[in-house]
Amino acid sequence: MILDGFLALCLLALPVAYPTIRLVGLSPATLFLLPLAGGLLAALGTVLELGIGGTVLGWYVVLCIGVNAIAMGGSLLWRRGADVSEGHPGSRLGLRPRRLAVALLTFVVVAIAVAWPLQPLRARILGYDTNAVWIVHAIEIYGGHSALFSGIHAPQVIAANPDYPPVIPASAALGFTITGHVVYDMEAVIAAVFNACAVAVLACGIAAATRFRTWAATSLALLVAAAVCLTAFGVAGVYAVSGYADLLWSAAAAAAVVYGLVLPSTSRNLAMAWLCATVAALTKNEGLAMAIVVFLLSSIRFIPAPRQVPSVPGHTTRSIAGDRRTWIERLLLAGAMAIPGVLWAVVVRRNGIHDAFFAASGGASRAARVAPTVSATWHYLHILPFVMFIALIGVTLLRAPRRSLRLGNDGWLWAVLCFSLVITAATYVFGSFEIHWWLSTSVDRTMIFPQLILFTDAGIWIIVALSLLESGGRTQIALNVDDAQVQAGPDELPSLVTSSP
Amino acid sequence: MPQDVTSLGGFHSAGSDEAQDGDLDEPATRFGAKPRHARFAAALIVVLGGVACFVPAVVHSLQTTAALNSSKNVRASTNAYRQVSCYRTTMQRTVPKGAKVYLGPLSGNEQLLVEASVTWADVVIEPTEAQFVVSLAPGPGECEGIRLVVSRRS
Repeated sequence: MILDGFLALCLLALPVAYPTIRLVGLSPATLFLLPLAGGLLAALGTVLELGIGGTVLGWYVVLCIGVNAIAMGGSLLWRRGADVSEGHPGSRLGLRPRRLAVALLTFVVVAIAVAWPLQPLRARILGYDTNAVWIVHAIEIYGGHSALFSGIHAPQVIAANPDYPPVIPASAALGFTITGHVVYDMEAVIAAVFNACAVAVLACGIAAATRFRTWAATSLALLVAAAVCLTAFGVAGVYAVSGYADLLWSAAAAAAVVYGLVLPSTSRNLAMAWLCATVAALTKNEGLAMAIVVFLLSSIRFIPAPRQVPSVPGHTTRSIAGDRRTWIERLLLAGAMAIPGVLWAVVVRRNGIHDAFFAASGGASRAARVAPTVSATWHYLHILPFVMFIALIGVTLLRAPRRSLRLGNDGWLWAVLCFSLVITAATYVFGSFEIHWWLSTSVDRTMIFPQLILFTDAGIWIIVALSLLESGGRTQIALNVDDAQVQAGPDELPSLVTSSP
Repeated sequence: MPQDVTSLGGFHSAGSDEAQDGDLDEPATRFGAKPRHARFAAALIVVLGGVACFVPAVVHSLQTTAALNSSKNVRASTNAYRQVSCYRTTMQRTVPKGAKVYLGPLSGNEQLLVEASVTWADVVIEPTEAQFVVSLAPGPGECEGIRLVVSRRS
């Protein structure tokens, strides 16, 4: 099984390596992202399998060829621009031995931190939903179009939630093509490794908030990254290694928040956020809701409001037409990013499949569902006051160093948290299942994402604080000597490395 | 001026493709007028507060992993896995592919029988439509103490 699982991961990661690296650049996070990117293509292959026909393997091969062709075509078109940027002093990999060492160290530390909690995989634990939902879906996808079509329409396949998105079952189905037959724990192995990869991408994103000059500070930042990895697995508990999809969508969505709303607003970070949020969207329906929130917010952040123009002396005004155009651009960007993520939802609804959560009215009134919902969700938010305290201190006294690192406003992260809690609570309140049973069987999983967001916020603030402590309170803490050289060239270095008491 | 946005663990230089932050964000500026010792104290509090958040969470994580990885749990889970896998193998051996089956008396394990039969047998809701009735029963058998009982309907 270990060899089969390894081969399945190679089948998922290797064909998408080139286009993924072209899109988001080469970094430790990218290496962890590769299997997830393969899972994305497998999920899109499943959309085509259901919508058109054929098998997931056939469509996966077609999609891999397509994205590699697009990446090669894109690299040919952009070669001139790439030559200019890659020719920048000191930006080549070979000229940055320290950066390479830190990158390798980051990869190793994070890999160990996410590999340790995977030990229980040897127990071959399968959860209820793993048997009832995910393995059933994987077998149907593996069976080809007719098996998938009849499977999602079969009323007797109870509790299988046929509308659930296909990243994990589609990837497991590709794994079955390696074993040649259905092996139940292939699904659990794929899900657990995907969980680990998504958590690792999140941890690498937090560690990437700044670059430290000293090895001591670098080591502390790596400790924070490792702590985030272990914490994520602790929050998810047994669900992380028993074939469930909840940690995957939560960690992928949290990573999308970090790359899209916290790290500096660049095209590559936006691309990373897009991939992570799309993984979340195609993993579970809750992930789709949060992905749409992330797409909207990161579009707003990526396309800034038009600059104010002076109208009369001492006053500035914004053009209404400019504002409208900006909002249209933001909505177009968010819509374009959401397309792959919503494809599955569109296709299954065109097939007449809807989720079971809002199918019929529940027994209790809406008002009667509020109290148990609030009580159950609050149970998993005991960390909230501590993180609020850290964030308050950070916003009050560490805002300037955070700006200096060009990190996004902390408000973005808290906005995502609020959206997440409102969406989750509204689902429970307006849903149809008996509320106490529903909460007892799911709230520990639906609250993984809010907890990850809170720990992510704490981690980001620790990195900001470490930057300040390392710099001794000087200005421009994000800039070490290497950065300054890249920004200005060696001749201008002295004027950039300035400090103030 | 293009700024390097590579960071801890970054191999690459993202160069000139940056955009300004949106509505919530403000452009990077030099530090404000906060006294240096206040910033230092705040940074220390944030680090210590963060450590206080993470340490119990990490300890809980390590304990969870140890519990799941204990030999007792591994033994129990492995047996359960063998049992569940056995249902599908037995189904494929005893029921012809494509046969109509009715999942008989169930006791909360219906998902395991559905899983065992999906894409192999055609599960029907009405017993009268079925060629075979499949159910689970305790007792000596090949599936770790549970038997998959398959009976042909006359």
